[in-house]
Amino acid sequence: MKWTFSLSKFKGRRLTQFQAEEMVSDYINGQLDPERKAAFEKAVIEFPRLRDLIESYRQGQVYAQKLAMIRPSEELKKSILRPETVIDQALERVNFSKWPKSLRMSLEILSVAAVIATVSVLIPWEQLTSLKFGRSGDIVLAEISRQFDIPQEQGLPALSASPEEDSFPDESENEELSPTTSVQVAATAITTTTLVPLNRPVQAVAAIKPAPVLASTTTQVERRLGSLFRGAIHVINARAASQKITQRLSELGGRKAGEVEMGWEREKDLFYYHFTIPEDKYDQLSSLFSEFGSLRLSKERHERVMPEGIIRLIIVVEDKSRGRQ
Amino acid sequence: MQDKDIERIALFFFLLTLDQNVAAQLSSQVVDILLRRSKGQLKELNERELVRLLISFFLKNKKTLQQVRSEIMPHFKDWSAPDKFNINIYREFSKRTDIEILVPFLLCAVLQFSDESVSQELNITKGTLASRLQKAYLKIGDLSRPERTSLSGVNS
Repeated sequence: MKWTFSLSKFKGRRLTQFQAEEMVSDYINGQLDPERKAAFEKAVIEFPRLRDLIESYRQGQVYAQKLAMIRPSEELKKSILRPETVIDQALERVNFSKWPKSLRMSLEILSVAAVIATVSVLIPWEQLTSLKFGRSGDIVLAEISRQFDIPQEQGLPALSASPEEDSFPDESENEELSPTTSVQVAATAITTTTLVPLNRPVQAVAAIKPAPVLASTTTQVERRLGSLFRGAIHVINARAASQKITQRLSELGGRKAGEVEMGWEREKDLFYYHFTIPEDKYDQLSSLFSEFGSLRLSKERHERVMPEGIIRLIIVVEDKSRGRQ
Repeated sequence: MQDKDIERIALFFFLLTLDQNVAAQLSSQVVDILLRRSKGQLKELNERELVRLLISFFLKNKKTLQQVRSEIMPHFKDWSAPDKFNINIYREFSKRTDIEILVPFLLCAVLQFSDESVSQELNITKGTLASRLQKAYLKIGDLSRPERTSLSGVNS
């Protein structure tokens, strides 16, 4: 750095060691004006450390020159110049950058189109479109983690219902067998129910064993069974009683569990109740029916699992006169 | 970009890191940028442009570079040095010197970029640059003085 301005006050003034030390590089590089140079040289005589610094600075310059002479090998230079990716290397090999611009553009567009076409062919669109993202077509009545450990060799649960109670095909059976209204939790029963004719008595259902292949499939699926109460009651004037029963059941929190309303007249003077009710209303339910007659209820295991605290019942209210006919 | 420019880039990162692998990677990135800018042509580079790029890379990788420098152990096999050159002096200097002094020293004293370009790109005054350079020269000179140095490994 060249000192270009005049420092009249400097003339004749002594440099301190600190000032002189700051001037070492300018002195060596010949950037001091004559007055400062003379003052610096006087300071060098006065402060021996300055000579030391001048020597160090010169040695530093020599070493810096040597550092500047360090050269990378040709191999290293090539590796630095070499494009990083395989594609870049290939493009360099064919001198892609020197091709006509229109040709390069066309090739790039073609490559992009090819990639898009490949991806669109490889994507399993059918599987993607079949995904309903939570909008399942199945009606999920209940999902519950409660499960019963049924020994595998036991097969279907033993049914305690008397033949006359199940000798008619009730609508709940139809509902459970219908594929269009399948219940999610009932999926484990498919192997047996699909083999059973709709109007077959329940006892016969229990006797039919699933085919081995299907059975093995069934055992792979976690078996979760619920329960169903079945019963029948013979009353005088079933029509009038049915109306009252329907009303009282609604008051108790009963809700239809199948497709038909509670108290559906299945046949003349025969009313059908397929409903759910809170478990804690069971006693009130019993007392309700006891007002009209003797209700016989039996509990059986069933594929349909109800939420905790809810029971499902199928009760047939039949006019006593039907029995005499 | 000329051969000399590639050598300068490589030397800057090598002396900054003393690790030829890291230096080669960083140099390759800088060269790649320069080639892209010049559309693959090896044309002559503007000094300011190169200094700016080196400094921006240095600032971008400052943390990593400082970590690399803390474990300095020069690998020197892909480099040729003048006779009786002792890399250990520079290694010691590099360990003892703040990176704010080392970078101007490398750019001005070793790579011979002009003081003006370096001071402007480092955003420091010429006086500050001169002061830092003097400190660097004195330190490395002090280490390399024959009567003082006990560092072995000449011409390693």
